[in-house]
Parts: sequence; C-alpha cells; structure tokens
Amino acid sequence: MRLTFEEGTLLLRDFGDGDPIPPPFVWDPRVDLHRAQALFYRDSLEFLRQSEADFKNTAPRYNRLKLVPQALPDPHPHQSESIEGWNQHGNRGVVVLPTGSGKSQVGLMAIARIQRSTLVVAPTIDLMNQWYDLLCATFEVEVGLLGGGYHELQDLTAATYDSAYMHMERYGNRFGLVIYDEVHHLPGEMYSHAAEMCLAPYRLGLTATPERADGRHLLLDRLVGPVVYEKGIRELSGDYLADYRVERRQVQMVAEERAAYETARSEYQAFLESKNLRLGSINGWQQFVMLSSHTSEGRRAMLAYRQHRKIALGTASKIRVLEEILKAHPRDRVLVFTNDNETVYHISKTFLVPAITHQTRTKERKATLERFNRGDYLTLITSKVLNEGVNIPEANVAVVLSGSATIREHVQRLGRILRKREGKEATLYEVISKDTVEDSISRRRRQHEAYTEVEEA
Amino acid sequence: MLTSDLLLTRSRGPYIEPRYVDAASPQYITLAQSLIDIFADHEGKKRGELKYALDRHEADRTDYRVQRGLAKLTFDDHCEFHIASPVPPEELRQAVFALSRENHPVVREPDVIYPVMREHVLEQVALEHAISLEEVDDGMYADLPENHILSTFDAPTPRQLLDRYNLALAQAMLYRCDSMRLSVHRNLPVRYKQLFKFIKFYRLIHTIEGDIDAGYEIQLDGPMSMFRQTQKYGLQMSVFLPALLLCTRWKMSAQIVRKDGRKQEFVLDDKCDLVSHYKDQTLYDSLLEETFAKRFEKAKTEWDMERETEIVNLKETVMIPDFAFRHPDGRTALLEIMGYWRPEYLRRKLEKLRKAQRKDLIVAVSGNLNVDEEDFEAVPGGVFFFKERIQPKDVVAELEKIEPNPDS
Repeated sequence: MRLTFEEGTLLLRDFGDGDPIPPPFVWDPRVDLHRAQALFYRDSLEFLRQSEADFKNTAPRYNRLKLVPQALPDPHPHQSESIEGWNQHGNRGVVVLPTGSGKSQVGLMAIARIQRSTLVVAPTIDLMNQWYDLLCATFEVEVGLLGGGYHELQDLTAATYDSAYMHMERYGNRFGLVIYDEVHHLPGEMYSHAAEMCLAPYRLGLTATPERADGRHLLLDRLVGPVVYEKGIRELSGDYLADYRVERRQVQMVAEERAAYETARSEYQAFLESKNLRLGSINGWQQFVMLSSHTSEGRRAMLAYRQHRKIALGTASKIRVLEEILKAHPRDRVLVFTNDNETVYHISKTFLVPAITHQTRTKERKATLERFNRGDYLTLITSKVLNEGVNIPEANVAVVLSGSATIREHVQRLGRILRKREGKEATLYEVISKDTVEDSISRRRRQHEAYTEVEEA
Repeated sequence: MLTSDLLLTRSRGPYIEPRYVDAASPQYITLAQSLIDIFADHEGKKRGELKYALDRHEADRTDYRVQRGLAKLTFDDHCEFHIASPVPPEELRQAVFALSRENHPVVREPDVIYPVMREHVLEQVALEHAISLEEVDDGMYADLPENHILSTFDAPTPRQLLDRYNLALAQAMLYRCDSMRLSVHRNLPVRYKQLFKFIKFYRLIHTIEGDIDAGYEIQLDGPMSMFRQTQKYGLQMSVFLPALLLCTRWKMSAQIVRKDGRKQEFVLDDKCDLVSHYKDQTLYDSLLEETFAKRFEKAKTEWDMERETEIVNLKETVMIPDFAFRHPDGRTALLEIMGYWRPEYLRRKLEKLRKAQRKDLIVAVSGNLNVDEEDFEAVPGGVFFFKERIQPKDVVAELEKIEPNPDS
C-alpha cells in the first residue's frame, strides 16, 4: 500500500485486502480509492505505524534542514516560554502575544528548532515581504515567495493567505512546518483550506487577537492546535515598549477646501434628510448604500459623501503642518502614515521622500526599509499597508496624517514606534482637520484602553 | 474575468441567474460603443486619465456596475500598457531620494536654515542624467500603474464586448458554486474528448451515470468536496464553462452558495445565448477517422456506424472511443483507433484499455507504432493492426466476433 498526497488530500493507493485503514480515511467512490484530508496526515501516520502496517509513504516532499540562525537576539522570557509551551504540545498550537512584543522571533525560533522546510503564511503582501526580509536576514538562505506576483518555492517560503488558499492543493506536502501569522485570519470559510489541504505535522499560529466576531476561532484547535501560550499588552508594556508622548495638531482647511467640503456635505445631507435617513442609526448606512445603487439622486449623494470625506482626510493644509514637523525633527527618523495611495505619492513627490504602498515591489521595498533603518533615508511615507506588525525599529517619530477609526489599526500603528530601544523617546503626531469627520474619528480612537493608558502615563 | 462585486443577479424561487444584458439592444450597444470610444481616445495617454474619464462617464448612472464590468473586460482583453521614461523610474527615484537626503528636509517654504526646494533637487538629478526636469518629475513614478501609457488598444465591436460580458457574468456566478451537474446527450466523440480534456485540465473530479442511449449525467466537484461543502473549485468551474459551451447537446445545473449560506440553482443549456471564446478544437479532427467513416458507409454490412459514442468511465479518467456500432439484432460495439505515436500517449492508452476490460471494444492499431500483440494481452476485446488506412472489412471481421448482448 502507498500513502500519497494528491490535490490537497491523502490517498491510499495499491490498497491490499489486509491493509489497515486509518480512521480519517473514507471511501471515495468517484475514484475508487480511500481518501482523507491532508490535515490528518500526522494522525494517519501514527495510526499506520502503531498497527505496524506494511506501507510506503510517498506523501511528504519536505526536507530536513541544517539552518544556522544568524543575528537572532537573545529571547525575552515570554518568547522562550512561548516556544516551550508549543513544544510541550507536540509542536502544534497558537501563541498569543501583543503587537510589538516580538511574535516574529517566536516564529524564527520555531523554524530553528524544527529544521524542516517551512512555509510562513501572512495576511498581506507587505507582511509576507516582512517575513521574507526576516527569513533572509536570520538564516542567510535563499527564501521563496508565493504571492504578490511571485511564485518561487524554497525550503523557507513566505506566502499570503490568498496564495496559500489557491496553491495549497499543489504544495501542501512541501512543508513540514507551517507558521500562520495573524492566525485569526485562518479559520475563515476560504482560508481554512490553507490548513486542511496541507499535511505539515508541525504548525504554529501567531496572533495578538485570536477572537473572531463570527466565533470561528474555535476551529483553530483542529486546524493548528490549542492556545499554548498567552500574554496581554498590559503585562508586557512596561518592559518592552518605549515611552512616548502624543501631540495633536489641528489644522484649518484652506478656504477653497472648506468651500468644497461644505458644498459636498450639504449635498449629501439634503439627500439624507429628504429620505429621512440617519447615518448613525443601525440600518441608515445600509439604506443609503442601497438607494445609491438604485437611483441617480442617491448615487450623486453617495459621490458627494465620498468627496467630503476625501477632502477632510487629505487636505493640502496638512502638508503644510507636515513641513513644520519635518523642520522640527531634522535628525529624527520620521514615519508618516496616511490613508490613501494618492496622498502618499503626492507627499513623496512634494518632499522627495521615499514611499511604500501595496504597489511597491518586494525588492525595492526591502531596500527602502533597510536604507531607512540605516539612516540613508530619514523620512518614509506609507499608506495602511504597514498596518500589521512591520518592523521599523529606528523610527522615533510617527505622524498620522489621516486614518480610519478602526481601533486595531491604530494600536498597531503605535506598536511600530513603540519597540523598545536604549534611550529612545518616541513622539506621535496626530494631524487632523478641525470640525470635520476626522474630529470624531480621533475621539473614538482615543477611547481605546491601551492608547489612553500610555498617553496618561 | 469579472470580480464578484461586478456580478449582478436575479433570483426566482430556487433559481438564481445573472442579469444578462441584451446584446442586441440599442441601449447597451450605445453604452458599449461610448466606452470603446473613450478607450480609443486615450491611446497614448495615462491609465489614470483613462480611469478618470471612465469615472466621469459613469457619473450618476445607476447602471454603473454594468459599465465597470464592460470596462474591466476591455482593460483585460484589449489594452496594452507600457512605462514611459527615458531612465528607469526606480533609478530616478533612488537618485532623487539620495540627493534629497543630503539636503534634508526639502521644503516648499524655504528659509535660512532649510533653503533647498524640490526644484533644486530635481534639476540636479536631471543634469546628471542628461534629461529635462519635467522628465525627472514625470519619470520618477512612471512605473505606477496609474501612470502607465495605453500604447495599443485593439478595439472590440460593441457586440463582441457585450457577448463577452454576458459570459463573464455567468462565469462570475460560478465562483460561488460548490457542485455542478451536467447532462450531455449524443455528442460527437471529439466533443466529449474535448469536454473531459478540460475537466481534467481544471483538476475537477467527475462522477458519471447513464449510457449512450439515455445520455450521461456528470457530476463535477473536487477532491475536498467529499469532506465539506466548498467553493474552492468555483473558479475552476468558471474557467471550465466556456469549454462546456462548445458541446452541442447539454444542460448544466450549478449549485450556488449565497453569502447567507442559502443554496440556489443556476441552470444553463445549449439553447442559451452565451458565446464561448475558447477555440473549438473539434473542427480539426483527425483525417484518419474522417476517411475511415466515409469508407465504412460504403461497406457491405448490417452493422450501423455511429459517431456519437459512449463514455467509458475509468473513475480517475475516462475513455471515449472514436466510433460506436449497432447491429439490428441489438448487439453493440465500440472502436478505438490508435494512430498517434507519442510514447507517453501509447502507454496511457494501453493502461486505459487494460483497465476498461471491455470485450465489445475493438482496437485498430497503426503498424507504425512501437507496439505488438504482447502489449494487448490483457485487453479482452478484438485487436488488429493496419497500414496506412483502416480497412472496413477488418473492422467488420472483428464486429462479427461480438457476442450477443445478454440484456437484449
């Protein structure tokens, strides 16, 4: 009998009458063979070994490695404890640590310990790129990429969830260890295939926020393993996060902007009033969206609504404030965040400073970050794409030019400049337009516990 | 292909279907033509400008999603863009940012402490590269998609675009399909072969019921489908659809999973107006088979030859013989011609013949092939070799050996 991996599943080929069938296998009458999900490879293998079956295992195609980690800093206690906990659960399970506490290093330690071909799956192209940088620097080997226009497989490979979902049926036997970064994305209806169609016996999930509103985080136990270690932001912040102060800058819109803003605002509000809709109410927004796709009037109002938000979020006056901030920090490493790509490139061209967006190619992005960390560049402007866990250790000034109210996004933006360094004092500027929608976004943002807490400290 | 947000649907009880546009209606022909004109006007201009013009045209129309769909397909299928800069943009950027760093911060309102403005930096980079300041300014981000230049626009006709759009809607519907059922009836073997070639190519798994007279019911899904309901194979089914349209007699029923989990049926048949853009390979059937068919018609025998043939289900694959024969007394037989010479093809074909274990399957083998009688030992049906052309009398001789069908 042969155990094979095909299209994200396991098959028993050349099955003989006396051969034992591992419990996860069921008869597939479509092809007249026994089939199981690749997820159950480890269980099936253990069963076959215990029943002393005579079988040939051609399913796995991953390699034993001899990686020597370079430049891996001494682990903090919470990092060592994470790895120990994971190890005690048979090298399967989820580690929960706050942003900025070095989750990635836990992943690197797992790779160094397991020494098998490893796939790291991340939710965005930028996070995938971040892992690419980390893997290159830590193990000094050729690293593969799956996603963002790349399709190269190596013993260490970084991928996006999208690509892992698309390609796992083909490559699900090429890795002995899979690390799911921001693992709360994994239990989704689609993305869960990225765990089910892969036979990796060793699995590690990393996240700061394992819970999902839809309750599907309960599936993680089956897909990756149980939570093996957990620490919250308050238990860590004193020791590992830098001190920082917050400065708010309110800007007045220039006259033309103000006029355009008011026109757009009154236009959509007139529409809302005529329909008796309130955007704050539970289904007000939904009705607005519906009306905007059914009537010309509604469509015009929606366009006006978007216009008014856009003016409020990316005003020319903010560029003036940014210039003041750059002048005030001539020797600091300044990271500027803004919401939309258009503004990013506008600012990049105005001040002739490098930009990183989701359109930036991996190699250039890597070079730009390196130059920024070395001090070859002093200012870096990015859109939301750096939101989850990208390492920029040298930044000590962050400017949030505009942002959405999502709490997670904001905390993660802070996490970026909070990484502890000797003698580092960080400053966060929040630049908002006065009397506009941003005002309320900012108020909502500051309600978050971690944020107010540090601000008061 | 359309993105899911551009799919417009209509539900009727248990059924769901795309909101097709009437490709002959003046309203949509005008819309398609006006979009095609906008693209044509932007040859040599930036993608960003083209998109802006499309947005303006969209303005407050409520059918903006139809327009966006048409524009998406036009972008994908009929446009070529290129990067316009005398120096590679990445090189320009690096030069600009490095020089800007030396003069940090570069400002818009210069003063005694910070006197350097962007124009100073751009000018110096321009000098170093022997190009103009404007070329540096435009070139440094010429590689952003918004700044790509539309170099060639290969204009479709409004009708072509609308046909393509309707097909793309049906394909987008299948993104959320978790299983598909096909009924096919009396198609030519080349069409069946083509159909299964695509099923295999898109890595779908088939379950087949039925026979040559009743027609075949084919269920399509993927390896994981037996463990959980999944739309994992929806994309594969959507690229498979144009291949199905090449069949002559068929029905399709696809189970669509809505976002709320409810199931609906999406049905199509050979009378639908969808037009496949896949090339129909069946027009280039082998000459060997054509000439044999003509010669057999003249042969003196009671056996009737049929081009619509049987699908022999071999589970992980299928075998579709080239001809079927029927005798007035109820006997039936199949003929497979092996005239093709690639070794891999030969090996697979032999494997299939052994697996099929059909006594009523006659094999005509070209004498030019590197095989002999030994290779056919485990093949139960009649086997004969031919040179140049297949003689009808050789086939008739094998047909006469066919035993009566126990069922009739």
